[in-house]
Amino acid sequence: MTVFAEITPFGLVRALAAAGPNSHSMYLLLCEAGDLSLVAEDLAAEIEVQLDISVRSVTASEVRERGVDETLGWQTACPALLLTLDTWMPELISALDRNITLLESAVNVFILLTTSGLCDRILAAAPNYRNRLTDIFQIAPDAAFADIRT
Amino acid sequence: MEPEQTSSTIVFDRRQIYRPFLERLNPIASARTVLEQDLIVPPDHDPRDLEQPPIHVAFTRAAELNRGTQMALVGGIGSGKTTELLLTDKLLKRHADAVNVFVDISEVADLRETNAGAILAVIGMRLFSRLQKQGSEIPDDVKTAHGKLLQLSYPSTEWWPIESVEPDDEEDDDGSDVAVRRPGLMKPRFPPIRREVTEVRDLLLAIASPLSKGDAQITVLIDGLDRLIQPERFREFAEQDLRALRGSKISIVVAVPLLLWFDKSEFLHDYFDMVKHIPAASADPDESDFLRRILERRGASDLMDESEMADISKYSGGVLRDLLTLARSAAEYAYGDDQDRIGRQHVRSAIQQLGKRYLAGLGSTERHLIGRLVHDGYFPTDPPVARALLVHRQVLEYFRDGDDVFAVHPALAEVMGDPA
Repeated sequence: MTVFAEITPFGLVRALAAAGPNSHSMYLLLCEAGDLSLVAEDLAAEIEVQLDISVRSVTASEVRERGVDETLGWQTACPALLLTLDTWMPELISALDRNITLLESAVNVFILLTTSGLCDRILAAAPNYRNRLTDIFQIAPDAAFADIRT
Repeated sequence: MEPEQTSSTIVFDRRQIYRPFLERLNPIASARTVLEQDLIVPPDHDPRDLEQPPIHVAFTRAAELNRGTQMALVGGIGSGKTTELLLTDKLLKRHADAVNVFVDISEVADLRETNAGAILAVIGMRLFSRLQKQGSEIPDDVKTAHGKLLQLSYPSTEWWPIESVEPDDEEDDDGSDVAVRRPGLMKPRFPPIRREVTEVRDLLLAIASPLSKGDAQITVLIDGLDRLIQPERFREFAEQDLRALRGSKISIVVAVPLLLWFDKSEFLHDYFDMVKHIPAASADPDESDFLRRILERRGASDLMDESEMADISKYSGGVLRDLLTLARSAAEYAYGDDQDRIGRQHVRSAIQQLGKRYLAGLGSTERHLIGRLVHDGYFPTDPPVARALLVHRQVLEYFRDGDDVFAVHPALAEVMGDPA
C-alpha cells in the first residue's frame, strides 16, 4: 500500500488558507476507519474557523439513502464540500469521475475523506478525479484536540 | 498639545507572497477564466509536426473554409484539450458572422444515462438561446421546433385514456406480419441513424435556419465526451449524433477519449475529416521551452530558480495539469516551511507526492508491463491493463522523430524504483 505524506486537519486548512479563497482545491485524505468521524469533525471546524466558510458535510450513509445525485447535488454551489466514505461505493465513485467538472465549477474546496484501504480502488476507478487532485495525504485527528476529547 | 506619535508597523504576511501565484497556477481553474486572464501560452506548432500550424489554428482554418467539417481532438487526461478547444473558439470569433456553440456535455447531461440524439438536442437549445440573445424576431416555425425539442429532451408524464393503451402482451398478437431480419451482402460502415435522432436533427436544423440563411459560420465545440473513457460509448455518439449533422454546414470539433487513438479499427481516421492528437509535451528543455514558458507566464520565476523550474518541467512528464500541480504543491510545501521562496526540497516533496499518486493501485501485472517498458522499451497497447496505464497517465505517449513512443511518467518512475 502506498504511504502518503502525513498532515493534520490544522495543517491542511493552513495550506488552503495560503492558497486563498479564490483557489479551487481537491484533496483525497486517508485515515484509520475508527478516526473518520473525528477527522471529519476536525476538518469542518478548522475550515470554518480558519477560512470562515461553511462546510457541507456528506456521509456514505446519506448517499445510500438519498442517492448519489441528490445527495451531492453536482451543481449546488458551496464553498466547501466534505464527503466521508467508509465503504466502497462504485456507483458514487463512477458518478464522481463523470461529473468532476461540475464539481470543480460549483465547489471551491472538495475533500474526500476515506480509509487507506479504499484509496487504491477509488483512484483506479476514477482517472479524471485522480488527475485533478490537488494532493493526497494521510490524515490523523489534531493531537491537541484528541487529547482533550479522550 | 502635539499629536501623539503612532508607529505604523507593517505586518509581514507570507500568504501574500504565495496567494497570487497559487491563484494563477490553479490546475483545475476554469479554462475559460485562465484564457480571459491571458495565462495561456498558445503552442507555436502542431505537437506532432513542427512544420504545421498549432491545432487550434488548423481547426479554425478548416471550419472557416469547409463548413460542415468534423474534427476530433484526442489526448490524455490533463493534456490540454479543453484549452485547445477554447483557443479555437476564440480564434473563430475573428469573423463577425461566426456563431460558436461551446458545450461541455457533462455539464448538461449525465453521460451514463444520455441517449443518442441528446447532443443534438443540446446544440439545438444553445442555438435557440443565441437567436434569443440576438434580439431579432424569431419565426414561429423556429419557436415550434424549439418547443418540440424541449418535449423530446426532458422526461414528462402524459395522461392517456386507458382504452387507447395497447396491452404489451404477446398473446394478443393477431397473427399479422412480423419483422424478419435478412442480412444483406454489404455491411454498412456505420449503423443506420435512428429515427429519434433524425427527428431531433430536423428540429435542430429548423432552429439553425435563420442563422444558415444569413450564411453564418456555425461551429460547435464539444468537450466532456472524452471523460467517457470507454471508446464504445463515444463511437455511439459519433455514429448517431455527429453523423446526423453531416451535410448540414455545421462544423464540429470534439474532444475524444485517448483510447480511440490506439483503437485498431481506425475509427477516428475513418470517421472524422481531421484528427489531431496532443501527446505529452516534451519535457526536455533542449527540445522545447514550452513548459518553462507556461511556468513563467504563471509567475514561477518570481518564486523559484531556473533549476527548480527545470525539475518541475521534467517530472511533469509534459502533462500540463501535472506541471501546474507540481508547481502548486511545491509552493504549498514552501509556505508550510515558512520559506519565502520555493527550494529544491519543496520541489522534491511535490514530485514524491505526485509519484505516489500514480503509484497507488499498481498491481503485479501493471508493474510487469512497466518493467518491460523500462528495460526493453516494449509496451503493447492492446491489453486492458496497458490501456488503463495510459488512461491513468502512469504511462505517457510521446511523439518523437516521427514515432509514437511510450515512457513511464517520470514522477512515478522516481518513487517506483526498479519495477522489475
